[in-house]
Amino acid sequence: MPRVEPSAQRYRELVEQSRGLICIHDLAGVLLSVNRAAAERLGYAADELVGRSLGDLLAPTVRHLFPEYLGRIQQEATDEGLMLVVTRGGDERIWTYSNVRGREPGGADYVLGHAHDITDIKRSDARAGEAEALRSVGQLALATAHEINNPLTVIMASLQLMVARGQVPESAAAYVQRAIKSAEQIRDTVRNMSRITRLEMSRQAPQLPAVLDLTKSSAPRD
Amino acid sequence: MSEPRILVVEDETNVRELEAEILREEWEHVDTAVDGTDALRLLAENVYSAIVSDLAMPKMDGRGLFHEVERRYPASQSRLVFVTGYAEAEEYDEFLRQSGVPVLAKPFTIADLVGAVQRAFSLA
Repeated sequence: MPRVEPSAQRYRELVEQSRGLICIHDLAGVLLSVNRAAAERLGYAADELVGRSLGDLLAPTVRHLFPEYLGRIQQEATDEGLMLVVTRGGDERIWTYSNVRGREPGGADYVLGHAHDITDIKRSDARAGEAEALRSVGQLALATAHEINNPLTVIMASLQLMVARGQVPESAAAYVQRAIKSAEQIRDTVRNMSRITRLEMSRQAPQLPAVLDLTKSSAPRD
Repeated sequence: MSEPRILVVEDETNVRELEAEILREEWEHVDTAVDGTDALRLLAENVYSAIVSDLAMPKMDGRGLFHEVERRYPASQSRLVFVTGYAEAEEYDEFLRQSGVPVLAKPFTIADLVGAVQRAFSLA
C-alpha cells in the first residue's frame, strides 16, 4: 500500500468512518472506491464492488437511465437526484445522491459520489399518506352514517307508529312489515359500517410512522 | 309530582316532531326545543320529568345543555336522555362516559324511546 501523508490519512478515515454513502467512479461509471457504509448498505465488502459498474447496482427498472446520468455528469460536472439501488439480497433502496466530477492533478477525471439512504423516510411518507386516506374515507363513512340515521329514524318510527295506532289496513299490513324489515336491514348495515370504521380508525391511529413523532425523530437512529 | 312533562330537544324537524308524537301517545305534556339554547328557555319556565336530547346540534349541543342543566337545574340532570346516531358518538365518547347520561341510538323503535323516558322518570 502506498504511503499516504498524515492529512490524506485523516481524510481517508473520515470517508471510511462516515455514515454517508460515498464512492468514487470513473467517467464510465466503474467504481474505483466505495466507503464501508455504502458497501455494507448494499450487502457487499468494499473490495467486492471496486471494478464493477455503478450501473450494475441500480434496480433493473431504472438501469437504462444510467448512461444519461453519465452524460450529465460529464457535461455539467455535478448531478443530484434519486437513485434506486438493489442490494445483494435483492431489496430495493432509495438513495438521494449529490455527485461531483473532479480531476486528479495531471490525472484522469473521476466522480465523487455522496448519497443518503432515504428509503425508510419515503416508506414512512407513503404509510402516512395511506393512513391519511383511510382517515378521510372513515370520516366520510361516519358522516354518511349520520346523515342516514336521521331519515331512517323517521321512516322506521313512522311505520311503527302507524301500526301501533291501527292505521294500517289489513291489505297493506304485509307491505308495511316488509318496509320495516328493510329499514332494519339498513340500520344494521349502517351500524356495522360505523363500528368497523371506528375500529379501523382507532386501530390506525397509534400506528403513525415514527417520523411524524418529533420526540422519536430527534432521537439517535440506529 | 303532577302530570309528567317531557322535553324533546332535536334540531332535525322530522325527528323532533316524530319523537314528540310518539311520546304524546303516552303522555299529555310534551314540549319541543330546536337546540340547547331553546331548551334552556323552556327549562326556565317548566320542570321536566324527562329531557330527551339530541347530541350534535347547532348553537348549543347536548354536551353544552348537560353542563348548563348541571349548573342551573342540578335536580334535572338525572332526567336527561341523549338520542344519537352511532356515527357521531365517537366525538362524545369521553363526555358520555364521564357524564353517565343514558344514550338511545338512532334509529330507535317506539318501545326504545318510551322505555328510555320511563327509565328517566324512575331515576329522577
